[in-house]
Amino acid sequence: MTLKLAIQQPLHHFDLAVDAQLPSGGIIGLFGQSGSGKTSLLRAIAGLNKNAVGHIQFNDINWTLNGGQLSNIPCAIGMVFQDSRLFNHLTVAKNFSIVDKLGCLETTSTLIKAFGITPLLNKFAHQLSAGQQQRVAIVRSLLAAPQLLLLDEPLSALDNTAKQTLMAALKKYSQQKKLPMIYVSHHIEEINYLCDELVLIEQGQIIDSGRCKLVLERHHLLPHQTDVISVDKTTNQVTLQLSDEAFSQLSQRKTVIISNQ
Amino acid sequence: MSNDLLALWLTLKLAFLSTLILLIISPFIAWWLAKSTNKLRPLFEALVALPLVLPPTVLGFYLLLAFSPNYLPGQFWQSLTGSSLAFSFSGLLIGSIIYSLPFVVQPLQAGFVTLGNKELEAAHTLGMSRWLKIKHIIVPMTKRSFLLAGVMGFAHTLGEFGVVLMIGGNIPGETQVLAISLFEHVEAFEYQQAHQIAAGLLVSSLVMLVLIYTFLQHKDKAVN
Repeated sequence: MTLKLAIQQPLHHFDLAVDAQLPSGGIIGLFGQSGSGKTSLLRAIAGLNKNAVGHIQFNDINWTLNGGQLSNIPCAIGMVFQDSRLFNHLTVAKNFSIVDKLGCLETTSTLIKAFGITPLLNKFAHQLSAGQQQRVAIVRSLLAAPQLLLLDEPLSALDNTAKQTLMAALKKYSQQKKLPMIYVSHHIEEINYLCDELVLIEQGQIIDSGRCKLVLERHHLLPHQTDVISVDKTTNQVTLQLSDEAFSQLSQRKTVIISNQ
Repeated sequence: MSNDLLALWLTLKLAFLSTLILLIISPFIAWWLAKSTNKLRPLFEALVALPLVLPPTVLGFYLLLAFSPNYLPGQFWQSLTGSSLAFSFSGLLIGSIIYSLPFVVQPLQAGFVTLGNKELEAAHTLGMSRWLKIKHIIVPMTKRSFLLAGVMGFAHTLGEFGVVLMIGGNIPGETQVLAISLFEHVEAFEYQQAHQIAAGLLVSSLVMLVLIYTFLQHKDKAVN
């Protein structure tokens, strides 16, 4: 996949200027702190930012963002938003049927089953939990048969179990269908698990890009391993370094079992 | 058919046609007013709302002038149809549409403002065409605004008096609507007939509004 971006986006605190070529399929991660311009960049690629001007090349297709009106992008670019943005007045099944461009009943039902949506089909979107809504939003975007799927922190509202299930399903779908995705997150664990390529963005500028693991290593961003920092022999107190996630889980427990697995 | 029955028929015909035409043209005006960032928007918003604050006779007077063969709109109509626009049902219809415009545009505009951009942006990224967005998102999500706009437009046209009197006069079967027929009975001290028309208009308008508000209340409960 070739994706070239040259976007200027006048915002109140910075101008976003990105010019990068990402020769890869699979999932490209876009990582940066809040306010670094990740969502703005994604919205510009999706043609949702009226202020963005510039040029985008996706494989053999070129299009120009010229500011003003929402751009009519010549190739299908899907986007999953942080909030699910389902059509709440419609059932899940109707949310799917009005956008379904896969044109094959079997493929559609396989996709619906893979994401565990089947029991939800006859419910109205507003009756679903946040996790279910997000699952439905992802499947709806896939049913629209995009050539490139943008995901803007789609798992931020989910608990860890739901996150793991969805990440696995997304990765599998991307690999099976060879659907390129751009995945935005500020959770390094998600990026590390999902992405093949990684782009680091800071204040609207790309500061590094390349193979995900290598970039994470270069910037010391690999998710924390559990390390023993120190052992106080007099008090028998052990100081560990934990990931944020492990820390939040451990801090709620009274008993910790030590294991070498 | 008595003059009152003719007036009832004409009033219903006028209200129905005005509402129908208003429901066709108003969504476009309301959408532009709800979504545009054009600097001239306040001017157009004021123009649409003008009939709400203007004495109906003022609007009627200028429409009467515009409809006369001495001015361009009237001349154009006469060259097109061979008949005068003033004191005709067609003139009455155009006047009603202009006079009732804010009653239909404003509920729709409020609905479109409330709709926001989130669902429309999602639809954009799902590759939905403009027609699909209108059919599956905009109209269903603002249907209570459409309903309210239709009822307000219809009820308002039923009770129209000032503009109608100025541009239509009082021709039975052509421009004499119920409100004017009522006025004529009062002038002739025929209070029995006046009561029938006044009470009929009062009750029908009240019933229409109670029905629509009850329906909307039920809808709100269903959503909650």
